[in-house]
Amino acid sequence: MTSTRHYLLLMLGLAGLTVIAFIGSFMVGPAAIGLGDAIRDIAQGQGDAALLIMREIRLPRAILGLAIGATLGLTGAAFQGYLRNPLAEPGIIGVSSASAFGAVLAIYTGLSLAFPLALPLLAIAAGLIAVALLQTLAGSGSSLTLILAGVAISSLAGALTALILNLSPNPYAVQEIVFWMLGSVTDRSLDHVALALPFMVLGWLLILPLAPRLDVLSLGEETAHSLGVNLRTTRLLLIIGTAVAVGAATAVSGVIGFIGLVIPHMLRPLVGRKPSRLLPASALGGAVLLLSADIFVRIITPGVELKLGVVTALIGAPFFLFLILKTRWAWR
Amino acid sequence: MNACTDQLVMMLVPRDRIVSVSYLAADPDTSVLADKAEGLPVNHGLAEEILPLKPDLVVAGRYSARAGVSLLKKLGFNVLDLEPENSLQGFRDNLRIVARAVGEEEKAERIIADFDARLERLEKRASKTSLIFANYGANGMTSGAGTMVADVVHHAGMTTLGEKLGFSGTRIISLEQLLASAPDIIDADIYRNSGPARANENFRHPAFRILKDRAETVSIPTRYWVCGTPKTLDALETLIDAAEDRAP
Repeated sequence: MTSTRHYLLLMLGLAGLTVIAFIGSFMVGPAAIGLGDAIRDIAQGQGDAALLIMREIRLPRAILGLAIGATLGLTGAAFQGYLRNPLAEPGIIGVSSASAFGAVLAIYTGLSLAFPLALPLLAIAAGLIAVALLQTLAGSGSSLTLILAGVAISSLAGALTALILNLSPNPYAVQEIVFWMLGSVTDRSLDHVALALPFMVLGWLLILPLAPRLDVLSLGEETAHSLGVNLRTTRLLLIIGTAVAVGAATAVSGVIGFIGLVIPHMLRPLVGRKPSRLLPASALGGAVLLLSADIFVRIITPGVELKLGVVTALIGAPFFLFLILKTRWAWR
Repeated sequence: MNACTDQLVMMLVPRDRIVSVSYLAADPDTSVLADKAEGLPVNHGLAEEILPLKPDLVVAGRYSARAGVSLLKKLGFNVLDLEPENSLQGFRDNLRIVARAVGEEEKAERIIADFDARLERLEKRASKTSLIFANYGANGMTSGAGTMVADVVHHAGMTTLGEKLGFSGTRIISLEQLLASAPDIIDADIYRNSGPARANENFRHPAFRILKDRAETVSIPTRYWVCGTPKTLDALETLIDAAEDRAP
């Protein structure tokens, strides 16, 4: 079984890269402080600025980078498998923008100040509405219908987000559109981890067990049905899992695009096109990509950090164009 | 047509000589003379708002409301362009320029004399231990060299965090940089704390709360030093008081 060995090796490699990127995330930052400084702080028990930076700023940043990357990679792979559509991804189908709108609603009305859980919950609810809408508009349609529906949902959610931020009495709200559209994990705290991580894990637990069913689904809906796959529960679990995980991720980081698109495509040839293998691999791959992008933004423009979405879009958008070209060639 | 220049005008001339002020000069968060502006028509730097008022003199900032100001110039209005005030001296200079234009030189000199007398009294108490001062505003904005804040901080015998980090102007710094530099005095005044926004989330970050416990914290309203006014010395006094509390 060379393919199984290949797969194990690939997973090991991805896990190794994830660990490296996770540790790397602790080593760079605007304050020129390395892991060594923090260890010295612990050893000497004095002047603990380095330790504080590690624990309160870089740790939540690394955890969120890992978890959000994994969420985006996993949900991208799952949606591509379920819809059998290579262009499906939480950002493109509008779930991310809708979640951002939910989060914006929670923050700028003051609801999340009174009740912190409102932030992930509203983002998840908005995400659910978006997926449900997408399913009704384009569930069984072509790639084109799906993308168009996604564009429509994204635009609507983006406009509503901008509307709320414009109406806010706070003078800074309007500038914050950039955060919500392009995403960032800078200066997040362990409070944000506590709010978002449990929901993301819940989402993963809902989606990962669907992998064998997606394998069967790749043979076509009728075959899957005759093989005993309950399409309705599969769809329901997938939609809920995606909305929960992506909603929680977006609520604390804003919209980070293209990871769910790029990663499954890069890994698909390596795992032998089986969704059951692609799903866990994409989760790890997504984590590696997001952590690396987050390290990258800290290195290339120190002082004035780029937003994460800028980097992921610079990688992802050309890739998206390439995919469209490929799809066109396939249709000829 | 500018928050700072309008305050200079309001200091010098009686209200009945003013036909309109910038909405920022009438905003109590930005302007220490907002009460004087009450009831005056406000403008937002648009030529359309100024035209029907037919003012004899338009006072504007060199870098604000450019579109409106250049249109007014083209239409033949008498426009006085002022440099932004980046220091206490900048305030004195601009006050004198406006005073000449409105014929209130004597009043300006009286204001400046009072200002200098108080400044001299305060400077005697300035800190001699070169403390680091960090203003940390919404979004993590802090002041570097060449700003009004830096000049006031120098008069208090301190340096701003932005200068220590080596930049000029006002910039966003990350919480990491703030933590690593361990400032002695932190000004965490939330400018226009109206309605929730992400901009103010950094104040709730656990790391920031820990830092605040370790440093001397002051709360200097933005309006005191966003423009130079006699009130700017209140900011200076607060800083000097804090430095005295900090010193052993």
